[in-house]
Amino acid sequence: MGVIISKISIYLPSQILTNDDLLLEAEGTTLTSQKIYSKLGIKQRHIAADGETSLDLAYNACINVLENFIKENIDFLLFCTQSPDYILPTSACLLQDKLGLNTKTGAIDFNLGCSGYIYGLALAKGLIEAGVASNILLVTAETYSKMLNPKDVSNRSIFGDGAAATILSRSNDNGIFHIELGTDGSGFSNLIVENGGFRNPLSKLVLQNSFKNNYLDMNGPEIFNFTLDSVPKLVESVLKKNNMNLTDVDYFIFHQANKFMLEYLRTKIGIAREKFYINLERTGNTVSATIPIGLQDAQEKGLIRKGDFVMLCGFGVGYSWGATIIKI
Amino acid sequence: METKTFLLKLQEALGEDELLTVDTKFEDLSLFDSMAIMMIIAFVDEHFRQTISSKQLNEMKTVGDLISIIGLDRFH
Repeated sequence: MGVIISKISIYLPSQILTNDDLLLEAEGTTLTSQKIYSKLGIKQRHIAADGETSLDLAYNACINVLENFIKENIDFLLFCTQSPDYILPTSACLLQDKLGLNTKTGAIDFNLGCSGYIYGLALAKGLIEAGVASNILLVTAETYSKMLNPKDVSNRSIFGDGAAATILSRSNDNGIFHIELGTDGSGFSNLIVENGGFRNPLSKLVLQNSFKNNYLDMNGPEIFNFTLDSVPKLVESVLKKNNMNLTDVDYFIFHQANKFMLEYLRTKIGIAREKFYINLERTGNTVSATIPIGLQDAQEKGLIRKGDFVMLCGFGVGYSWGATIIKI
Repeated sequence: METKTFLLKLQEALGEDELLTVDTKFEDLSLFDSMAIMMIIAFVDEHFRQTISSKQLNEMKTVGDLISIIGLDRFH
């Protein structure tokens, strides 16, 4: 008995922000469209419209994934987002209703970013193996654009909005192997939206705060240092946990943070270029959706085929990280 | 590493046309921005297996400062 990924579908909001569009709004920046493309690997990103939330993106991704699937068979809904519709109730509850899933479905939200998909796989695998569920709809949907200061050209050039819906099913075969997870909360302040939660509620005092505190603030150098330190170790430990060597893995899909960081990680770890997925050209960094979007893209392009062992590796905000090996 | 080699390799990593000296100020470089900082972090990791914190990067003004951060004992 095991767990397999049955299907993945994605949804990207229709509004597109190209590098040129973004730079029209930027005063006195040294960034150019060419530089954003050559260093970050991004040409454009999709941006949710006003009034279009991560729940809307999630809904559309789910509609896509439920095509030709008997939706009554879904018995659990896992919704990963850091931009929920409400403080409460749980956005996954609203999603259950919008999708018309039967009321015997379990539904929870979980708040993670770049590591979200791996944690979602871990939760789904646990629920299925424990007999709590048989067909799980794991949705990773994010709208970081809504948390960025309009003047923050640097972060606006990196992040894009998007969603992916994955169906995970109990099966006679097993497609998801041992998962390695990790956390280091000492890095919490290096990728944060400081105000608006219960620690610093939005109030008159807080609204007077600086440029960054009401919006997403990312300490790029510290995040880079964190990935250089933790990702190679994560790759080593997930291989060890699965009794595999680097060469046993057919393909690697890491969280698509930015091209420069990914290329450097690839060479540092020693992964061959043709086995390593880098593609965030049209989407930017869609946070918890990058890995499933990459998986779907890699399959469509024939970069991965049935029987391939693929390592998935997510790392970032929290700090939080996780990796696993799946079999296509 | 030889200081001369370091200066050439750093110049190449940063994509700068002009030769660097220990007195070169980072803010004077035409291409110096958040992406250049990323490249410096990768450069120091690759060649010296060292981490350089955001605090050190903020305080760093010249190429000479970077050399001091890495440690003069790593150069000849």
